[in-house]
Amino acid sequence: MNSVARNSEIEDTAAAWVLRLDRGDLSEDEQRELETWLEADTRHRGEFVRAQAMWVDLDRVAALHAGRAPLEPPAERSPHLRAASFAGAVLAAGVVLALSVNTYLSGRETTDVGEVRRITLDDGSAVALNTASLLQVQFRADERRVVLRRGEASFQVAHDVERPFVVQARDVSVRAVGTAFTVRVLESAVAVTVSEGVVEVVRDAEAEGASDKTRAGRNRVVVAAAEQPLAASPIEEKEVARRLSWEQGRLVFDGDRLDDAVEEVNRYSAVRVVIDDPALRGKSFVGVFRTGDARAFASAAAAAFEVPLREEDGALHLGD
Amino acid sequence: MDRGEQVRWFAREILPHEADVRRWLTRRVRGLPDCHVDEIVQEAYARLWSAGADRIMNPRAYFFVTARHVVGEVLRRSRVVAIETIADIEALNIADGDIGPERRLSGREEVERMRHVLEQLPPKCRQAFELRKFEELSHRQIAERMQVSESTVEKHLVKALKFVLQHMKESAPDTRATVWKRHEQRRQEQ
Repeated sequence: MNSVARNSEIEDTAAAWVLRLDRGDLSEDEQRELETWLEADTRHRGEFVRAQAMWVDLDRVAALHAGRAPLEPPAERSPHLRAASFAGAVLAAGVVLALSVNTYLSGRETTDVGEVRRITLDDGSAVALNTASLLQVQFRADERRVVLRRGEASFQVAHDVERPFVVQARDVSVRAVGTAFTVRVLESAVAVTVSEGVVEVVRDAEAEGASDKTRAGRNRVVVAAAEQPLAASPIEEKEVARRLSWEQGRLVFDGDRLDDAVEEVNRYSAVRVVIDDPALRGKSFVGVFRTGDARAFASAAAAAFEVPLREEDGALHLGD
Repeated sequence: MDRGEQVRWFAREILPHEADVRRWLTRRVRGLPDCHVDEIVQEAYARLWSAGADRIMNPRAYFFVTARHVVGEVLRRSRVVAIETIADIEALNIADGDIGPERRLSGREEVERMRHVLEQLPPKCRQAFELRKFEELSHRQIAERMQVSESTVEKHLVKALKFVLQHMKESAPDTRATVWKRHEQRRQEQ
């Protein structure tokens, strides 16, 4: 067999495996078959890596293609590499650029850990996308729908009675006409905090056919927890502002439990804060920090509670 | 670094240089026996993969040097090449212009180029690709939407992937033409 024919066969097989993996997990037989093929020739492995890299890269191109401003994916690399590599600096610049305002019609927006991005949608509504979030915009003639796949986003909805604005998070839909609110996808619940106007929160019930529905106005929070009816409860205006402080790149703690504060800080930071002394968990903590500055937070907490702070395995440990 | 991270690293740090490495190889191995650019590139990818991303400080240079090593090995194995040719390849310094500050396309140019590539996909194939990458539907959801079988969806997507890979091979713009001209002139003068 000549080399050209053989090469196109390798390319075909590699591409087929990449898409088989893209479909979902491999069966045990498939897994074995793939391993055998990869082991048979280093060129197989090389082409497989190449095709996989291209398939992954197309995510970025797809995002760009959807009309988004040029943006490199933020780097995920080890610290020594970051220091050594010029490319790292370029990518870091990309993260800063990401904070600028983008306007586009539809598409997909993601933020990495520690990143906050403001987006203007084509109806004039403003979105702030918090750390480690994924949002999809699906505008239609009769409805402005955005899907929050993970993380948190706050919305300033432009008034348009003809086209309701719907934020969907898991099985919960938040419907608004001209309102400001925040949706956060938590592990076991979806939380909606309303800072202006009125929203209607609906949970789709697939089986029963009877969906759960509630309306919530200014300074209310609606929690949709698994297996429980929707619950709206009042919340202080100060608390609403505090919950939205990430929009300004700040984290505000006002008597929060230290373990809650740590959890919040860790949402934005690659360097994690760990509480080693259980007695510290319930202590109440006050302070204002920049999002992503875990170090400043940890030293303030160490000073406040007079406990040692040490850095180990890339984490900041509070207490002995 | 887990597998997924390493693949993303390849997408970010290696893939953008493939066109330049290919161009360099094409000029270098033309007429040499048993040297096929596709094979050398595949071999280089495999070696970069086992080297591990976190050990590679300068991915672009590493990619070039790895490709050169592969060429050297292929030539030594082939035994029919004059010893001087091997020496020539071995001694070949990769010119600064080859490794040096790369000229990546700007994001906007990249979008335009990709848009153009994707427009050339057959309609069904393009639809499947867009549903997968833009709408992030699963293969099953795409199958339902397009009213075809899942295996047909997979075939469309394989085709789209092969199409863009082929495109990267064939039509990468020659941003390095002037650098090459200088380099070749220098070689001839020596």
